[in-house]
Amino acid sequence: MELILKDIVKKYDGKAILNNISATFKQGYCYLLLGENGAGKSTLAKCIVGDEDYDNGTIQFNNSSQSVVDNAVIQYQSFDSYQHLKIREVIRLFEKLSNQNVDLEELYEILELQTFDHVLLKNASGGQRKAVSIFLAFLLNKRIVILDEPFADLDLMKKKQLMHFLQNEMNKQGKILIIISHEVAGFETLFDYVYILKDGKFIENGSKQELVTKYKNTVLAGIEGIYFEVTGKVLGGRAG
Amino acid sequence: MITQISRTFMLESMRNTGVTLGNILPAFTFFICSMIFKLTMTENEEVVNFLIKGQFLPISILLLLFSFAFSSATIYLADMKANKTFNWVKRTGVAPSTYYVGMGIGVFTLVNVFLVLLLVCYSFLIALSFVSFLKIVFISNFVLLALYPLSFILAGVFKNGKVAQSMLVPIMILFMFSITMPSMFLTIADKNPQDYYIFLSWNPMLYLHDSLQLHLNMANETWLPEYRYFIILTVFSILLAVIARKVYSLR
Repeated sequence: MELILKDIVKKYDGKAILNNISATFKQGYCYLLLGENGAGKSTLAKCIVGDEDYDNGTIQFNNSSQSVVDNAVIQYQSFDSYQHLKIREVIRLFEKLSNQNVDLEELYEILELQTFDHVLLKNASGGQRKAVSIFLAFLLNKRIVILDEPFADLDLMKKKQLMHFLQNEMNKQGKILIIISHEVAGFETLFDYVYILKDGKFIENGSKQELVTKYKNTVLAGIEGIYFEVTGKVLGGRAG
Repeated sequence: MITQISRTFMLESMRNTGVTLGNILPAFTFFICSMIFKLTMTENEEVVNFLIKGQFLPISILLLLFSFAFSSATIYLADMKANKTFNWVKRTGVAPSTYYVGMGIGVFTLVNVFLVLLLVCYSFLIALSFVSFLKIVFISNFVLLALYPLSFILAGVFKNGKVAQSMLVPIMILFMFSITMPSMFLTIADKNPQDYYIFLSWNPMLYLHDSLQLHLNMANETWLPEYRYFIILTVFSILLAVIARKVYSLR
């Protein structure tokens, strides 16, 4: 099963945010989406999951446009709904609504939800809201999962645990994982493919191995080095 | 699934103490005023009863319906739109119509609980037969049926809960006082308010107000036969639901 993007164009007020984007995402692989702020990463993610309409091109999963929306979920940076429900009540609500019986005990522990699931959403911190968002993204049990900066706000050990969870989800459940992250050091084994976006276009993409071979003598190690070679900038936005 | 949606709406509404108090306070303020009048003006009992039946009780019910079904639901829906709740909900596979019905059950339940409580309170002040009691609850529910989709339309128009809140005040005044004021002033001027009801037929509150006058023994008959009120209100509800479906985007 593949997610295929072909010539996607998205414009805001006549300005192209996504400019003829084409890509193929295969089942059971993890894709890293890199780019500066405003490069079009979030817009692309929203187009894939159907939150935004695009002006031109096609997005298909299993040769159908409709099934993309039905099979995709995005973890938004925050969860601001149901302010007067406790976090565990929100989770229970989504369990009932989606009628899914997914064993996510491990993720519950990694995100430490048990320590704050009694908190009302309106009193939850940014990190706690994000944890809810990540949890719900997996609770909905979709084939395509897009995560937006999932590692931020977690301590080092939890980051590693989350990485192993994601690898497991990808391999055993056969999901397509697309991760937008500025934090890649220490998680490089998770990513199979890297796409670098600039001004609404992919300026570089390929399997991690291909890119490592292509950009051999980089100043920085691994994916950070590749990104630096391609854009002249350090991941996180500083000028190189 | 519908039960879960209703439960969520009721739980959130009741936990939001500011909103809950704001919803019930206006209606019960008129009851408290009625009680004070009843206790202090003992020598003019007939006038007090007339005042309670003609003004205070109808305004209490109108305010209760407005607060819960209209203001509260509109703000709730506008906030849901603003914080993109439906982006999550649509991925659960729940149809928008299921959410519409589930939330509607929550709204109806809350309104009915407080409506019954309000009428029980008033029954200590004025003679209110059990049949009148039930008929008032019945017509109130039909008005609620007509008003409920309107909250989706308004929530579709307004950007978020705060904008909705500020815009609902003039809308509420328009809906309420277009009924109560003409009735009061025309009665004082010794004219029959029902002669002018045709001009107010766009307002669902008219049918409630007119039915209340009958069931509280303030009028001998309603402007139109009551069964027509139920038909009109049902048609209102269906038409508005169709518009709501177009105006309130889940995205």
